[in-house]
Amino acid sequence: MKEFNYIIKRILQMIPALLVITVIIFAGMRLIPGDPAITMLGTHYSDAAAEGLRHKLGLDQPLFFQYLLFLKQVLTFDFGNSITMNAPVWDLFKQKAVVTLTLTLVTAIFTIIISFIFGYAAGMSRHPLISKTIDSIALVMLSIPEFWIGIQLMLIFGLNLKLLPVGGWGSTWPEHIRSMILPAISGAMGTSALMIRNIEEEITKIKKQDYVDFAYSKGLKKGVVRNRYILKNVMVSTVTLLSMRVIGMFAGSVVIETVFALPGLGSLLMQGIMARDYTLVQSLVYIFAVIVLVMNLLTDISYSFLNPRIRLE
Amino acid sequence: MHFSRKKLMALLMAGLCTISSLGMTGSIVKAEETTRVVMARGIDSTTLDPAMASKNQDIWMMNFALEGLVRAAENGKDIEPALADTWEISEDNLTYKFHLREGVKFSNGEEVTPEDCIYSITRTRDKEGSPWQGMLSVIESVEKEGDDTIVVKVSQPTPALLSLLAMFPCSIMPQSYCEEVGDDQIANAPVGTGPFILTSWEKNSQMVFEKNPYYWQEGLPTVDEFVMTVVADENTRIMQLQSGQIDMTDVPLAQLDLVKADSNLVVDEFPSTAVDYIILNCANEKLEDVRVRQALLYATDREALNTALSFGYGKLADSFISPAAPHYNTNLPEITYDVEKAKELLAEAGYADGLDLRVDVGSGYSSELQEATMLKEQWAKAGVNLEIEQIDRATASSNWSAGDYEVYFSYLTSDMTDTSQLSELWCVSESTNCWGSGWHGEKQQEAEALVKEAGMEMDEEKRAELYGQMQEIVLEEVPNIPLYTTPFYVAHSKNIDNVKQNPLGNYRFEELTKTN
Repeated sequence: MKEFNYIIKRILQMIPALLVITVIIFAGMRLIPGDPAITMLGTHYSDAAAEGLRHKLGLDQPLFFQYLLFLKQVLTFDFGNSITMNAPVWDLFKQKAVVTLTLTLVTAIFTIIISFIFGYAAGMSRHPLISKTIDSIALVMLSIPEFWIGIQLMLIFGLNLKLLPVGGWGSTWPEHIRSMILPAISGAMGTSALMIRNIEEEITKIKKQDYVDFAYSKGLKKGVVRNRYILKNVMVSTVTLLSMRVIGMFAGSVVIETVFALPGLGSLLMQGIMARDYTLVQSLVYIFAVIVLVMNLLTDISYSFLNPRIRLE
Repeated sequence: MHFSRKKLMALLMAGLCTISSLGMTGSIVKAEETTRVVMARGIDSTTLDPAMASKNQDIWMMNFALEGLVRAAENGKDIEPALADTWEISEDNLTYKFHLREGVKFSNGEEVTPEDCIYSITRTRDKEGSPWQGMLSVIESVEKEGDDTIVVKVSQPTPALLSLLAMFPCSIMPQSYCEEVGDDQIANAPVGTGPFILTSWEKNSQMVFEKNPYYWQEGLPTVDEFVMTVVADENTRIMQLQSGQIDMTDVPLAQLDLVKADSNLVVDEFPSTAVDYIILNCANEKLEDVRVRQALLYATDREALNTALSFGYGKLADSFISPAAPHYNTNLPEITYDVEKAKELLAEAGYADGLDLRVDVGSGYSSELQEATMLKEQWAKAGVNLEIEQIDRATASSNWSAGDYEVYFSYLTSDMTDTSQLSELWCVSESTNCWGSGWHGEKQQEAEALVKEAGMEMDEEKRAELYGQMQEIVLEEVPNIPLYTTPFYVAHSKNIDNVKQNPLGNYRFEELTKTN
């Protein structure tokens, strides 16, 4: 019951947060100079055309009225049409979210695999050489920019070995998955490096805890102690770190999307901002805000499963 | 949870196997029956509505699905028949009669009627917020005569009328379809008489065109499917071409050497009407004095800018009208790079102790930053301190259109086979404030008068003379410093042939061929 109350309370807390967010996004978009009519007309700008366009787009309405319209869109979850792309925002979001979600998932999987293997090895090993080597590699991985790794991977696996596509998203699911491999590896590098360091540190810390010594002295097998006592305790901070990175990836990895020509949410948002596409940016940021709040809640809930000492209250 | 090393290794191996097996399925080549050509470019179109399109990425895609009564020839200067196979011009040059080609159908199978033509042309002319309204306002009426004749009346003799009708805003679309689907759908899936049909468009990703079975030119288009994908990163685009993933792409100048060195690729070069220049805000108090603007022209080492920014592929320009456009004045006085002269002029204008100017550069546009940095060094020699301001592109362009800037980099490509569009943009104050330069004064009025006269003069030789004089005035007055003009480059694999792009930038791919 307590858990249930906690979840309800958290959901109710989201409402004022989201309201504040609508004000911030709306004001933010209008405060930056430039407007959609100017960017749409581009080099063919003239005052008369811009005025006509503003009228057509409803941008000559009072600001408060425009905000109310946005609120209505938010409440009904019907976000209307993007100003510059002539398509419903929700359709655009769905289309691009598939790409970004796939990329995020595959990246997360790669991240988990890479970081657990190396983090575990570095933390558990008694040879300083192993942990030092892994540490240094992680440090290098952390400092190489994503786009550089991306270009190198495409050069090697796409252009020279012809094993994987050079960017693009393809048109069938096998193609989609295949085209995700290189971007996911490039994206996973930096995050894995962070996670490796984190897992390693946590393991060395937990290894010295009394309860671990106690478990050994009870006569439990090495493997059991490692998995049940050490690894499970490492999970709490690791899940926090991973969930933060996953949220970040979902809101858009513009660099990866650009280098690998993936039509995802990052590039969509970027383009919307550049074109001052008010409806598109407002709605996307709002949707992201909802996702972040929900993800945070899910992360908090997952703690209590991973560590029963953490209670949801 | 039970992670043993063995299990982890097994998981990893399983993962690798899946990956490599996916690799296998993808590379099985399907039996090719239809020819499919894939081209990549850096940016997607935003609208294909002929009344609303205003950016090159929109405009250049227009004649895939759409066509007008007449069209621009490949040289970008002449007009050739399209939907109308013949036409007559009245003695007073105010009435044009176009005879529709017989039996032409739209890509949806409907026959083209005079009503469709009337609807399409007047739709753009009367469209609120259309950037083309002003240019089309010269068309007084469009009427039909019989079942196959369209009568276009203009309010004054308009030598550019055919050129105007060949431009995409006058594309002919079926009235019934347009009225049924509305503006948004016209923007996303225009129907016309062009060689292709736009069958799907995933924004920011790809456009798929299929052969229009009703196309009036027998045997064309030669490819069954044409796909235009969006690949923002230029390195990726070139790698995709090299790996065979795409068949063709436009080439940024920075990548040209690399692409030309690849013996598996072919690079086609097309002359263009695009001219890059530096706009000087003539309404600004510091730049209002013509001597200051002339000084800046003398202080600019255009040769160095051309070499660095166009990688040597550009040709120095001395007018905002490109040599590839009609009425380019070939006898303009040579622009010299002369720092001493610049200093003299600045001293005369009262800036002997130096002058501070600001240039707005789109942040993230490395070539603009390079241009600004070089210019800063060059102008410093004449005692001009150029401050570089990096702001985002939309803000920069909104500052420019509001006249809130001092120095700004820009370029224009002509959209029509006539000189009138660019000339009016640059010399007629009321339309775009002399293209945002705020140029004014006696000389500007003189140029404006010349352009207006040329806009009504039916005698070609006389027109050329008028536009020639106008270019001389612009060069003397320096509302812009012309830099260089660069051709369009399209790179493609060896099995692609007949790639065409006219000097206006429009892609013409109906004769494109691909051999396997």
